[in-house]
Amino acid sequence: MASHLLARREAREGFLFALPYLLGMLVFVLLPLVAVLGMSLTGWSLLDAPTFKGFANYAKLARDLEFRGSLGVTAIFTVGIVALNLTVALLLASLLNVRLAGIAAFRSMVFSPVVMPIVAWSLIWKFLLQPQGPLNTGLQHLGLDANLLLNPKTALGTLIVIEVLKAVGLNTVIFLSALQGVPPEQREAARLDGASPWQVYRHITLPMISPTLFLVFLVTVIGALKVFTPIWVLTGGGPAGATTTLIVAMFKQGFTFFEFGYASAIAAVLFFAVLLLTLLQWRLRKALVFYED
Amino acid sequence: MRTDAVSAGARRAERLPARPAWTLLLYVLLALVCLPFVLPILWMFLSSLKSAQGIFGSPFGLNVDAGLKNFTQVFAGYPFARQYLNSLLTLAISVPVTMLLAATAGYAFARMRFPGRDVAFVMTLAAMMVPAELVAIPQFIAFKNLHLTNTLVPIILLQIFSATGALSVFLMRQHFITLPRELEEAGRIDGLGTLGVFRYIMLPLSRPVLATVAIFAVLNSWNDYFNPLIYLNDEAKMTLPLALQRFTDPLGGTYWNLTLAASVLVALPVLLAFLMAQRTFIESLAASGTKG
Amino acid sequence: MRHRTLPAALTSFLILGGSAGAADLRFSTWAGGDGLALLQQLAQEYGAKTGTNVKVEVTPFADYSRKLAVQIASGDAPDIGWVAERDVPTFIASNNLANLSALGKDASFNLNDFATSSLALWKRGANLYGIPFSNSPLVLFYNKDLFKQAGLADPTVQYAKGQWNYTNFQKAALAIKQKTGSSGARVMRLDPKAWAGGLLAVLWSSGGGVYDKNMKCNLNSAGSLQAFGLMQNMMFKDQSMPRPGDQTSFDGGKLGMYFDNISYAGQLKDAGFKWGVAPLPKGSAGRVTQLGQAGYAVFSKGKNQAEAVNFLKFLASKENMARTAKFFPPPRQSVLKSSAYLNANPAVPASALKTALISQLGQARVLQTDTNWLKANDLITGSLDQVFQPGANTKAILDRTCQTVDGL
Repeated sequence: MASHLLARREAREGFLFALPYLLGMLVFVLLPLVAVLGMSLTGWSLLDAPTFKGFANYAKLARDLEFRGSLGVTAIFTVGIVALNLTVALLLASLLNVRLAGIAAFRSMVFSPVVMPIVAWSLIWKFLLQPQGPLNTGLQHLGLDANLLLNPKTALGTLIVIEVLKAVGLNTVIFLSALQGVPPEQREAARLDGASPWQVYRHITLPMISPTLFLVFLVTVIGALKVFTPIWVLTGGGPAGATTTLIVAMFKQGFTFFEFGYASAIAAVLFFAVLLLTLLQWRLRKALVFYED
Repeated sequence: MRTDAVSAGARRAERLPARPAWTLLLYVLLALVCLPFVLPILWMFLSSLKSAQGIFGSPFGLNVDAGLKNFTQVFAGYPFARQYLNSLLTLAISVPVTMLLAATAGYAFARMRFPGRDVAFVMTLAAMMVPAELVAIPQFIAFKNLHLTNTLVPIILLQIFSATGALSVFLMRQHFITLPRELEEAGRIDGLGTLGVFRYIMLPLSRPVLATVAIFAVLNSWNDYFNPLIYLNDEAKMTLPLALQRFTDPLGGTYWNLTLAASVLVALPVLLAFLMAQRTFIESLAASGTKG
Repeated sequence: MRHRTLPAALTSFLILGGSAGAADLRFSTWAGGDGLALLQQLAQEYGAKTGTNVKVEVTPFADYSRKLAVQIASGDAPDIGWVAERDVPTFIASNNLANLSALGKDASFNLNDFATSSLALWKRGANLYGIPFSNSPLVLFYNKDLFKQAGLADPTVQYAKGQWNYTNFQKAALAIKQKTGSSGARVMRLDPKAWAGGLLAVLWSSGGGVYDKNMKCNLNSAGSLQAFGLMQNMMFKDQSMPRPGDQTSFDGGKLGMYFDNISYAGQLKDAGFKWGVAPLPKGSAGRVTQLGQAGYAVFSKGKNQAEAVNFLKFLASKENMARTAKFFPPPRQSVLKSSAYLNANPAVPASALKTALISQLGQARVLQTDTNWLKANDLITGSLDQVFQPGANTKAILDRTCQTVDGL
């Protein structure tokens, strides 16, 4: 009886605790999202009245070469960003996790691209990556015919590197704080038992920070799928569609061509793909994460 | 598990290498690794002191031909000071509210059973993934009907409840599920109610995660471009990322020298805040002994 | 007391932004700096004259039409505003611009003062959907110092002798490249997405273009291919023309010649070199320059159309266009030919303005597009990325492009 009462009280209190956020999310995100799913069933140019088209937009997606191309670009971009970002962030965090006079300055340097406004950030990269700019001529001296950002073969990879350079500071800081939470006593004990530094890292440090790794992994995957402005200002999805990710394709349809019904269909595909991926990761976390309730 | 004598020692980073030669080598290595990260921002600082001719004439030259002229012009010719204030105000409201709502909702998701909890949590995960551009139109119609367009209100509310908010709730929940239940029980024995347990036991143990949430919230609020673009019509109401697009000639051609000077002013406070807070931030994260 | 006033002040700051006052009319623009100040001044004068309160709303140029579309879609359209050239066909086709043909009968407005060619973009049959405020032909900016160093005759001199054609243009560019090390000539803007500004003049002057008379894709015609051939030669053989992606800009002083609208002169105020303006070179099909336009339009979903038309008449009147002409080349003939306009820019002497700008208006063209322009533009941008690569198979690329563009 008493436990029943307690459960009811917990339910009431839990509901009240979550309510302010849930209410806002419902009104400002979920209802608009439902409306957008509805829009994906219409032909709507934003500029005139919507007309109901059923699943015609989705049928068109299946035939749309740019959309199909953007699926591949999105996959490469996302995998590239996540792999490179997490690896570099972990390496940097391990390197910056030393006690050294002036280490704060080095940490801030790695973080500094994060705070740079995107207009300034894209301008310097446009200078650096000019066809005859310093980076390309450097590579040309090595015998490569490089035009990194304007050659469809190299543009996506270049964009991935630039984006990781910009964003990796944030993940580095989070990893750094996780690394500092690993008690050195455990590592020293392992070392006394004859473990190599790599074994200590692999079997003690990494498992200890695995919850952080998982969180950062999830956030980075979602972030990579949503990267828009850096692509838009650097390449606009070009050259020849080589950097048109799903979100760029959606933006182009919706806000450049004003085909908002069609853009909503692309968005719906993107949304469900990400949701599926996230739920999958959620399932996998038990296998990946060392300890959690 | 908690902050006891053992983990107090854990707060320390890797020990200093023993020999000075190694220390020197480490410095060289650090400098080399940090170079590609720090060069762009150094270039931005340098270019903000150049004229447009200087920036495009020799983009990597050291000719700072404009001195501080760009900076004075940014303030004299444009409502930049006012726009700065707008961004600060947006930040000052949205960041603490995001932290508070994320903490309460995250706590409820982690620790309390209530009907619809799991559905609501999946919806929160979903909200993390919704790009702002996608839901802009229905949101705009809602705010128009509330007569709140061309104000900072939608900017702030969308910061709190959209992707940033959802991410924050998610981070808080992940943190709260790792805290031992015994803590709450001890609090209840001491006569604290749910609110008391949350306020006096759980929140103080959450400072590092709150710091992470704060970093995300500050960066997202400070850099938000799309929503201000859609909602704000007056130059005097604009926030900084939008303001950075307004240093143009009469037909819209960019004055890069002014844009870069303004960019410096946008980046500098965040960078300084990080430099000053990084030690506290990184160590407070580590100190809590949270596993995530 | 303090506790009560602080939230109140905060609320008013958030909601009203300090400046209250109901607007009777909303005017939307992407103007910046002095141009915006002038428009605000005009709005105020109109308010003082008529009692109608006009509010000027601004959006960055890059996202101007996006914001406008969101406002229209949400039932929050402004009453009147600027419309960019690229968006005109789409906005007309979707019935978002009000028909202004009644202005033709308004003697005081005197629509005849506008050259017929300057209204072509805005007309559908007898209907008129906007009034241009800027009618800006491309001119050639050239760096006098570099011409002197290379021992070349100025383009104006060559023009006077009737020798200023694309062959001599290419030669001059090459000479500058070889003798000064600076780039010879740039036709397109820095942003590859803005390819239409510049490239079209070259295409048209050699008999090509984006569309032919029947609005079929014309990018793969012999004339167009000749023009692309010239540019590819200059980019990759002579190396006298910066490739797309290159950031060499004219105001940096390391570029001999550059095509842009006359308003670009505003960015050359502090240039550390001598420069001049000249007509574009002549091609096998004539000396055709491109007119860039932007105009005022009344939005048909605005709430106050009649008043908006009145404000448009005020803005585009002879007196006020003479004032905006300081920034935007005026489409009104009477203003364009006035000595006040010709002598307004101390950096460009009246004689140069006459030769480079006014004498070229007869052969100037506006890019006529249709409703699919926004998509076609995107496709063409993508294929130009491929055309301007060394060793590109131009014909094959453009054949494919035209097939897709015609299939839209």
